[in-house]
Amino acid sequence: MNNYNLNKGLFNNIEISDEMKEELFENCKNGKRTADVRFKHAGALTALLIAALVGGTGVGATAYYQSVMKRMESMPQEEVKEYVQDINNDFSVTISGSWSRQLTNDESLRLAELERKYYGENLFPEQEVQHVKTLSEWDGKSVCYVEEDNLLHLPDAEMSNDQLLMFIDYSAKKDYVIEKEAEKIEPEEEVASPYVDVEDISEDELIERGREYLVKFLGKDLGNEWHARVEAFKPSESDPSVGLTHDSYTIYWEQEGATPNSTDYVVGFGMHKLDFRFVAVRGREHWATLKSYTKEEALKKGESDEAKVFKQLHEMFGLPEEPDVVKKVEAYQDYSEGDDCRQIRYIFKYGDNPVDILWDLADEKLASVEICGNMDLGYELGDFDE
Amino acid sequence: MNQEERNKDLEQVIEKYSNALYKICFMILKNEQDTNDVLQETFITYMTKKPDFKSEEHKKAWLIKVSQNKCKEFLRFHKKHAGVPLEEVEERFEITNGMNVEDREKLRLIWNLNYKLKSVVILYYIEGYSVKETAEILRISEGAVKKRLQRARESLAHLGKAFEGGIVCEQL
Repeated sequence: MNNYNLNKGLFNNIEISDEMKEELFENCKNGKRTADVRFKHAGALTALLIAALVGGTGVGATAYYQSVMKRMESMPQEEVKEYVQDINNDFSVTISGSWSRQLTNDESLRLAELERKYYGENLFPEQEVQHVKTLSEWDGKSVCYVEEDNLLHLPDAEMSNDQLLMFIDYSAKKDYVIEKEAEKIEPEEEVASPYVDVEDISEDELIERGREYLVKFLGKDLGNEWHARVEAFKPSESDPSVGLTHDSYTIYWEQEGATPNSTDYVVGFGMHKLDFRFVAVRGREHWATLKSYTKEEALKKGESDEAKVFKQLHEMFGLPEEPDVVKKVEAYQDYSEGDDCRQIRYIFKYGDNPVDILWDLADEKLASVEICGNMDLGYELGDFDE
Repeated sequence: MNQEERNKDLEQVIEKYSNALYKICFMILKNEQDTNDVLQETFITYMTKKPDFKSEEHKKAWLIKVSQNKCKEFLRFHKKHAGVPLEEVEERFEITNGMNVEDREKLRLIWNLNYKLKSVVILYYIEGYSVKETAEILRISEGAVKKRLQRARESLAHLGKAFEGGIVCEQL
């Protein structure tokens, strides 16, 4: 043990609440995965792969994909070293935590648009992000990595499209280097990938089944511009007692040229019973279209919107008119901090089943619905019951 | 193990280890929602992988290791919530209640360290793991742990100058 004056006592008052313990148990027992709805973020390589997979123009999309890959792979060694150095020294390993400020709404929307052009049409910046050693060398107007504080400094004024492109290029290359570096790390033990092939049902049938829920959620069909793909997640390694709850299919709908920040839609099913798990709209692009409230305003509106949320859940998913318990109402801050709140998270209980909701405050629409446990939704969708 | 036994085991593991994991992950992520998500992913991994453990210490170290991997993955690719300043957390969770000024300052300094330094400080100094164990948990080399501890000591000593005596760190 270390003879040192930092000790466990410093953390004495940091304690998990009984309520959180109970929530953890309920969620884990019911196989609720945070990763599928709230965790997932595509890195540059994944974005490229998606762009190639869902690119409607076939050969064209593949060519763009190859061109971006070539751009990444042909980075001079010095540049790669610089990125590795940045990654090692970054003030934070969070994505936005290593920027000097949050993106504005307008920047977020233009970012999503320009990212599509970057990945999908090979619109690249003419210049690279500048690197300087000290903050005093930065002019305050450019996008610049400063070694002194290990932050990517963004100009105080809104970034121009050219600057956003430099920012996208920097982020994409950094993600690429991170993923390449990660490949070099020898895993301590071989862990089989939990992603498997779709079995027992065809991908087309799954997509159709998911589409029915998505139409209920959105009140309309997305149409042909949105491309669906399926991921099968099976972590239970054939253990049927766990497999019943944890293994899942996730169906993603993305537009041509989807990027890490674009809007997408997801629907999830349990793998074995094909029971509905969740539906959601996600992405920085979607978030940027939402009106901002202070935390106090958001919570107040969240409470007064409860009846509307119950009604939509009842009408869309056939849940009872009201839950038995409202377990949690909290401001949910995707991509923002402080008094910039746009969504409310509710956790309701219908009988023993927790239902986790994200609610877009200004639009008064459901942004995500996640149902845990085996809930009888009171209606049949499709003909897939086993 | 049938489903009922599995659930019972899960309940016991959460009861026994969630507080220790919560302290570490909360210090790392500085945000309750993210901490909750990481703990959930950690216990789901426990439920689905469930390796054989040699001892309770082994089980605890394994859970910390998984949670740290999740923290790292989460911070790098998935983080959506900003870290909350300690002042705000102090008010809401009363985490510095009853602390003297010096300890409060130490906590603030650790809170504000970046992930790479903070994770080794927490595991080595607070949890009492050795350099080798810290390296295994974080999946980095022992050399990297020593280097980060050195940087953390320098950083804490530099930042801690504001109060009497600074922060004194035992040299390796």
